[in-house]
Amino acid sequence: MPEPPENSPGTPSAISDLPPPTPEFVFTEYAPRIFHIARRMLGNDADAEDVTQDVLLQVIRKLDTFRGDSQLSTWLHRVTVNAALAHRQKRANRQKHETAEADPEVLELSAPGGPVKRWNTSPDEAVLAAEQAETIEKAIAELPHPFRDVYVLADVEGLPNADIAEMLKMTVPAVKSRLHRARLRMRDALAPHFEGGIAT
Amino acid sequence: MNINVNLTCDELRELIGDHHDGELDGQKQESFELHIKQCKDCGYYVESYTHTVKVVKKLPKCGLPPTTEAKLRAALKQHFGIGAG
Repeated sequence: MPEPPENSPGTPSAISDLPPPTPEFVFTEYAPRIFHIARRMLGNDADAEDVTQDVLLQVIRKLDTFRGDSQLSTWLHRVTVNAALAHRQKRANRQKHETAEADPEVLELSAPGGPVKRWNTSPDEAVLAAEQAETIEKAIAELPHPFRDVYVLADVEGLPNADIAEMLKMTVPAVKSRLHRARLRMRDALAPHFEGGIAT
Repeated sequence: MNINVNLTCDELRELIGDHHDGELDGQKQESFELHIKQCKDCGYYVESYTHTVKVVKKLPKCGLPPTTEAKLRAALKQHFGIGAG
């Protein structure tokens, strides 16, 4: 597990006037986010629950080292990603069928298949219809792991590419390349639903 | 300006991410814009890529499923003697 950062600008010592967050605050503010990142990365609720519990226990044990919400948030993301990756590895070791995953760098984009239809999109709806949200979640779940990890952290969670690169031990250009391919896959997966379909 | 007007549809698809993030240099940006002006399919494709990025950001922020919340609170109570609070 990554240690909380120390002795650098923006760390607890630099903003030590603030009290440490309480366990209840961490639970209320972060448990849902931890759970949903893990669920999207791992593809099921049971594994996400294990990861969330693991992360919460780690974080609450070290709460007195934190004084700032933003620093805690960054660290929580990192711990969550590490815990989810470790959980997936353990699961793969148990279930041999998961080991035959394709190398993401050789997964080619599908060739354009005929004319592209214009999507039926409304300009700026604030909230997605439940059916749309479900379609998007399903498309995310069907992304191969290496694409899904980057995609969830970048486009769903909105983390900067540099942070994602550090968390996944990749270069920033590799993150960008994988994100682009994930977006193309998402675009292709959503196309049948938005080409005059469920979008309002 | 020497614009590469021969950007193929495949080449354009490789550049959509950089275009979306505003990271294309001047010449590539010009070629990109020119291509989608002349190629309806690629224009629609770029539009749908942009919409894909946008729509995912609107996924609702869900809470914990009630059974998950109960299990997690029980675990915290067991480890720390607290109900997370």
